[in-house]
Amino acid sequence: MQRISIDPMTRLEGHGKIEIFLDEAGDVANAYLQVPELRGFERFCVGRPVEEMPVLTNRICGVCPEAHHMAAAKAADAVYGVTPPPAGRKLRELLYSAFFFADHTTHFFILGGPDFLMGPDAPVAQRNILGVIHKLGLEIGGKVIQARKVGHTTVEIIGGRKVHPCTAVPGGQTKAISEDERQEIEKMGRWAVEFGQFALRAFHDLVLGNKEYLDLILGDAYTHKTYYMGLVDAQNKVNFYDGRVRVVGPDGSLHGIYAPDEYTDWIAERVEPWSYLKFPYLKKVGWKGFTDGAESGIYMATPLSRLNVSDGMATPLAQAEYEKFVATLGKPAHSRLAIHWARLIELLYAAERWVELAIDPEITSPDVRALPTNTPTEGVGIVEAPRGTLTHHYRTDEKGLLTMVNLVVGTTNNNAAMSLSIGKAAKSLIKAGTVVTEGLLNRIEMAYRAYDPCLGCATHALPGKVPLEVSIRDASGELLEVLRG
Amino acid sequence: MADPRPAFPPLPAGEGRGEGKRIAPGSAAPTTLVIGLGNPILGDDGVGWRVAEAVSAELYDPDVDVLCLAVGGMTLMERLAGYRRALIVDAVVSGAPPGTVHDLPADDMHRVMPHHTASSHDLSLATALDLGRELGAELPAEIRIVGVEASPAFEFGEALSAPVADAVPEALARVRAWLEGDWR
Repeated sequence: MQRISIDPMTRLEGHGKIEIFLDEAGDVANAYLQVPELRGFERFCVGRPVEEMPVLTNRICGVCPEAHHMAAAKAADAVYGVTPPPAGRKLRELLYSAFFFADHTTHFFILGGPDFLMGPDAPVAQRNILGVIHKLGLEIGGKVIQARKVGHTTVEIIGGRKVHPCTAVPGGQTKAISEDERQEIEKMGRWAVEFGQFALRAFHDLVLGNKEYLDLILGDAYTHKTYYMGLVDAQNKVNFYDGRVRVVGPDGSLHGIYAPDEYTDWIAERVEPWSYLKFPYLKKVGWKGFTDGAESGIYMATPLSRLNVSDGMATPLAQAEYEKFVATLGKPAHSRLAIHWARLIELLYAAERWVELAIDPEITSPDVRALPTNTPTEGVGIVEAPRGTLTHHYRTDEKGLLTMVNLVVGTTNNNAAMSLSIGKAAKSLIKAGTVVTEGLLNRIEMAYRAYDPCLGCATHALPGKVPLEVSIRDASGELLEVLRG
Repeated sequence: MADPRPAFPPLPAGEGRGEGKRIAPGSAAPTTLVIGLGNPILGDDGVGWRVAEAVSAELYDPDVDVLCLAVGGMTLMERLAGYRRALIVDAVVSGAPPGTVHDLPADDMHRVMPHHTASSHDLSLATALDLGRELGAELPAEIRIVGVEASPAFEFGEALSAPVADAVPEALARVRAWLEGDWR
């Protein structure tokens, strides 16, 4: 038999690399994580019918295709100036709640949470769900698999397919659900609420009940005082599917609130000579370099951001958890490790909202689509992706063929903030040109993992995971050391 | 719903498994699975789909499911559950000339997988398979991967580069040989 060794390689240029730049004194000056750039995607779309976008854009990424599907459908609604009927809108939000539930479950239990559940110093091979199962028992693994199953099954019933739904179109949905399907969705949603409560109990017992972990969350090591961004409904409650984007400052004061089609008044993108990545920042504050504080336009868009910008959660169980969160951390909360806690509160909210929508009397209405009749022009759609605010902006000719496409994806919002966190983690282990390599990869991994960055092209059998590669460069840009794991 | 077990197999065999498209009609419980993996709009990354579509076009066997998927470790593992043997056709970048066709058993995967990862959101397939087995999933006893060496720069587009397009017949022949091995 032929055996070929395939080295772990990145699939997109620059994908999955961390660069650390030192200053003259050998201390950390800058650090950043390269995430894949959607090179050529906008160009690929131009000339195609706008109604293809909900199924095309969900091919950008293997991690949150549902988010792209929804943002694209909403942008296409706006292009045609059409409003989906109530049942169409509610089906979309129901699908989206089930997706959020499964996505947050996957992140917390499979990769992010094990940093806590196993401890930051556990060997890397154990800091995953297998380590958690060995420590806490098989039952937790079965629950996680079941949680993914109920989420994916609900997406499939409403969206026509698992993972890559295809039923959201300009003006609503292509199909309604039957009463039998509704009952199945409700049953799964009720299980999801129980699971959400279980997840938060586990977090309270295992993480908040452990002084070492609580100190890690409350401490300065992973803390930055930045601006925060997230969608809120008319009552200023967290909403994943719809609303206006609210932005607060490091002291919690309101910076502004904008409708989707106003996003270019609020967000600008910084280009740095050393990276092809764009760094979005708040236009009205300005770019002041890689620094936090009220003078710097760097913002964060994550579960923690959404809790920080809102007045709470729209469902009762999640609201009670939100109140405990604020009582412990204050508001706004700045610790990046608190993103994990915020994620679990959102997970419970998603499950509760799932049930609310599943028992809504309108949800089985056959009236799920308003046919677009206006001449298409231009539109913006915004949803919250699990990992941050997701903006799709399209312009078309009068036939509905795309002439311009601009996407600001969830992870991109956090490029600058993640760079701050990686830099801070690196600073603790790199001083005056001396690099403590032991533990550096672990700490850096914990720093960006909290943000749940979507490096969505890593959806393959081989290498299957994008290896972490950290390059350290001196003040002149010369490569001093490369660490790989 | 209160009892989380048994969670596997995630779906009854042969029922609604087609995430991308279930392009070969299977019987109630097919035991063999061929997956074309990759992103169909990312140039050479779509080669797995092209090969799977070619398999489907020439094959009618109720015991074989053919799927086109764009999913990673955990979801891929969940899709494999319930089959006796599986073959995955995927694009790879290993430094070999584009169009080179690799053939490897999945039990080799741990050796070539990194531990630390820059993708925070999924497990490697190797770890996901370990997890599934630990939880009692009925995962295929045999999983093989046919890898087609892609050009290193992936760009959005529906076309394969010339050397990769030329390699589709060779990859198809490998899949055919693997399928026929079972028939003998």
